[in-house]
Amino acid sequence: MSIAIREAVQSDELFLKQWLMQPDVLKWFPMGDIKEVEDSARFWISFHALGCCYIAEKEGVPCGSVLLNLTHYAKIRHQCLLSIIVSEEFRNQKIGSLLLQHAEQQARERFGILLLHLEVYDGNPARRLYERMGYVEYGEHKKFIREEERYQTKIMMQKWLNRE
Amino acid sequence: MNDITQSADYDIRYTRLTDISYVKQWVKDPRVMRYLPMEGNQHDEIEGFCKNLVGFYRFEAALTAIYGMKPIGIGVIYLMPYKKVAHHAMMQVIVDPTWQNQKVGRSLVKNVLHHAHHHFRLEAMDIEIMADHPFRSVLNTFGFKDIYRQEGFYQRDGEYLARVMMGCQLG
Repeated sequence: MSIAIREAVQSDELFLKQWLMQPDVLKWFPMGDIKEVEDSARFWISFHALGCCYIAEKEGVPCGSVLLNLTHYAKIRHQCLLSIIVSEEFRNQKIGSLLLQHAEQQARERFGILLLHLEVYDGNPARRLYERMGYVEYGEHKKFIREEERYQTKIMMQKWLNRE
Repeated sequence: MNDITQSADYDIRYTRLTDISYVKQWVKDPRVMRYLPMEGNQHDEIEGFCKNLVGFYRFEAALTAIYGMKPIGIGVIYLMPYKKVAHHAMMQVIVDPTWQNQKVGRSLVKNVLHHAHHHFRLEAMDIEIMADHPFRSVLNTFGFKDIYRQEGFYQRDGEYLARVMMGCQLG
């Protein structure tokens, strides 16, 4: 089974929208409806112009994406927030690991990033992947999400790329 | 510490788009810039930062402190864009460096928190701040506590510095 990773293009916005609208994907993101998903997908794909948004394809079929939220601000451009998504039907096929590996390599070698960090909601099974890949929890934000009077905690994880 | 907020010439009003020229001046001052993520030579980034900050005037989510009709500080509620997280927000407070240490920042925080609670019905307010920012002790007096701390988030003058997310419950 061949999995390839390429830079995203504008037309990948459609895939992002489709993946985000999958109920078991959307529940781990802060967006809640189609309009919010469209705004988020537009923001995500806008980074393709900087070459820091990537798409995984399995046998030619787009199945996930990873985004390096690059910033130009001088005091924080050594760090980067990372966002990742894998389509429901392609889970548990190492796609998340490959996307993370690719993002880390690009972050370090192409963009000079030293510190990568990400956010994951409590209970998200993807947290195990992040731990396996060397991400360490540095904090949590309780009551970050509220859905019908139920609150959820956001967990913050990070990995230094120059300390391996 | 002089308290100009008790003066008849001091007031708080909604921010106007035209306040941006004052905000840019404050942000470019090294005493303010030291605690922001940009550097003084990043003109496009400074422009974008100020536009984003003042832009919340459209939602009545930005307040300006004035003295003798002249803006001397701004407090902004960065309203969240998604419903699942709209019960809380982040805030930013910037005071004209020539008017600092005269309780303007304290006055802006008090008004921003009141506005967030009563106008926007928010449950909590957060602020992201450099670990060595002297304003942290003022925030403590309003009930702000550290939520999390990320070492190495900032790089200033060749040294790493932590960012701290502080938060307080409203109401």
